[in-house]
Amino acid sequence: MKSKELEWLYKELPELIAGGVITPECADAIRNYYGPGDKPGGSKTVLTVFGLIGGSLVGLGIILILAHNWDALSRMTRLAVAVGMLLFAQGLAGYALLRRRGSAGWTEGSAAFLMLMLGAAIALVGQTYQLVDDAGAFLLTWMALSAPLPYLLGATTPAVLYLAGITAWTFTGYSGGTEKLLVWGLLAVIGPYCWRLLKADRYANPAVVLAWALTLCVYICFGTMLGKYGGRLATADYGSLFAITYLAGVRWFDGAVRGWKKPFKFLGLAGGIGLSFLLTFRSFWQAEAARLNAAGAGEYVLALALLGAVIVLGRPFLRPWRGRTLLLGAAPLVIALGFFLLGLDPGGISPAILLNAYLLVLGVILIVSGVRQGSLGVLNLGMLLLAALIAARFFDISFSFAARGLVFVILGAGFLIANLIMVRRKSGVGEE
Amino acid sequence: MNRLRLRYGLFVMVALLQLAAPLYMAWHWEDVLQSGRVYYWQTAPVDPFDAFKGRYVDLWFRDAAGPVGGGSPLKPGQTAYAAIREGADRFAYISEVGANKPDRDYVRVRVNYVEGNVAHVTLPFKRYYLPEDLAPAAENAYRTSAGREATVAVRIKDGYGVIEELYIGDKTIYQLLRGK
Repeated sequence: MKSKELEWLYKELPELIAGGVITPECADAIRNYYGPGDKPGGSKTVLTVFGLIGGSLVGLGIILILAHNWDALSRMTRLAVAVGMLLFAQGLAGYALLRRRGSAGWTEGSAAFLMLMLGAAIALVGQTYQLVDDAGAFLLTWMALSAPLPYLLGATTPAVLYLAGITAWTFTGYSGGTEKLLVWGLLAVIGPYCWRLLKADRYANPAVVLAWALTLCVYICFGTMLGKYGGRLATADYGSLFAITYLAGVRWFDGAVRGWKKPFKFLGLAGGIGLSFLLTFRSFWQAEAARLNAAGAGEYVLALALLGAVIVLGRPFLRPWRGRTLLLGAAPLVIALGFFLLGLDPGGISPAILLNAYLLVLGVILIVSGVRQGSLGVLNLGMLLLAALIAARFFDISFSFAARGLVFVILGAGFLIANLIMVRRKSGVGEE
Repeated sequence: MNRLRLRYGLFVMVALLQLAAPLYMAWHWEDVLQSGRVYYWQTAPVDPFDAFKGRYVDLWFRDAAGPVGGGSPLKPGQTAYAAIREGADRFAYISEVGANKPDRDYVRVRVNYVEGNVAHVTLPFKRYYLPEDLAPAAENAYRTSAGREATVAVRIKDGYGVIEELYIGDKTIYQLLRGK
């Protein structure tokens, strides 16, 4: 199919789903069949991006101009400027809602501008009255007043800014107290909007951008919460969180689109492998051993609950058997087993060996399946994993420079030869 | 069309709430400035290189501590109430820090730490904003001014405090800059 026709078809899909003509699964099947389109909605995307960048730049510029602190202006004049700018931004957003409903550029640009002007108005009043730098209260007020904007204006930019804002809020103020747990409530406020967007078309640009922001926001907030309220099993918890994201990504968001359009799978995989890699170092386990002894009952309950969620999400991959997905999703189980071994061996040698073995098996399986499927990406991921593992062990244990050099040369040559063979094989298949 | 009308109506309501936020803040602080009682605070002679951070003066108070009053014990990080009194030298000081509101003028403070019977707190007025082009000149004036003693006039009402003026020696910072 020509790219223009494909573009048209892909543009129609969300409307067909919304109209109940086809199911989301059916849309996925159509995408799987035709593969990624060249540039769906190219010119429209450019217009949206320009509208968005324009709105944001003007908003940020006004904030900088106001930050100059014009001493010639009286307090009342400053207030009039703040409220006037806010009114103007609200007028623009209202106009976009009533008269420019079809234009994503107008909607996104005016919504971003309104959100920035709201922050500027509150900040300007703070500056006028020499208020203390209470960034927490400022962010909370700003975000709470912005939360309805995505729903009412149908714009994704305020939702992304909101996610960034509440994430930043968890870092503000004095640590201690339970008020930062409110962030989960704030996240829930934007939940229905994310759900609606993902349900309509999970691979459309706004949904993908929001999914990236949402995943990163949850990861960061989870970390700050663990840091504040007892995160002695944080490593195990994060392992499970990455696996949950990855497995959910494979189950519900694994259509035939480019990799960056699948943030759940991408971030879950990157996080899981990264964390497992860190745990191949013995020193990490030694640090874990000290924390493990101090962990309380609540921390164990959380870790077990997250592990339970991983098992529930991974079950459908048992039948039909999907070994690679299961192995990648099994990282938290391996880490949990590592923690069990750590209880028996506080020196951390046996859990470190376990994680090394896990990544070694994973690397080999990725290479084998990459070769079998003829996928250069999977092959290189496996090779990269093995190379990183070998290199890390090399710096862990002291070897002579000559031996290290030789191993690196062999690794590099292995990479080149494997890629060369794959490329030849692929082009051979093409000629046939 | 009805759905759009509903959405628009809700948007107007949210917009009014958004407008109310800066207006309410301004009304509240303007009220403290207009009808609050004025207290003079001596700011500690801080290192002048650290006093100015770009567009504002960071204020440090010599007397940002007071004896712990009756009631529940104070924990670091908690919000408490500092009763304010005027000393014989006309400068304000904290006469008591407690978990309950006192009868006389007070400000809401954050407890940093408690040492023996003395609670060290952060006062809610810590910054004095300046126009960005004046900040370097102000920094210079502050550094070279005799005694390097600074005073702030703060209006206090119902637990809230707003800085009215920053003095260096007996001149306001703007008078000092104009004099230069």
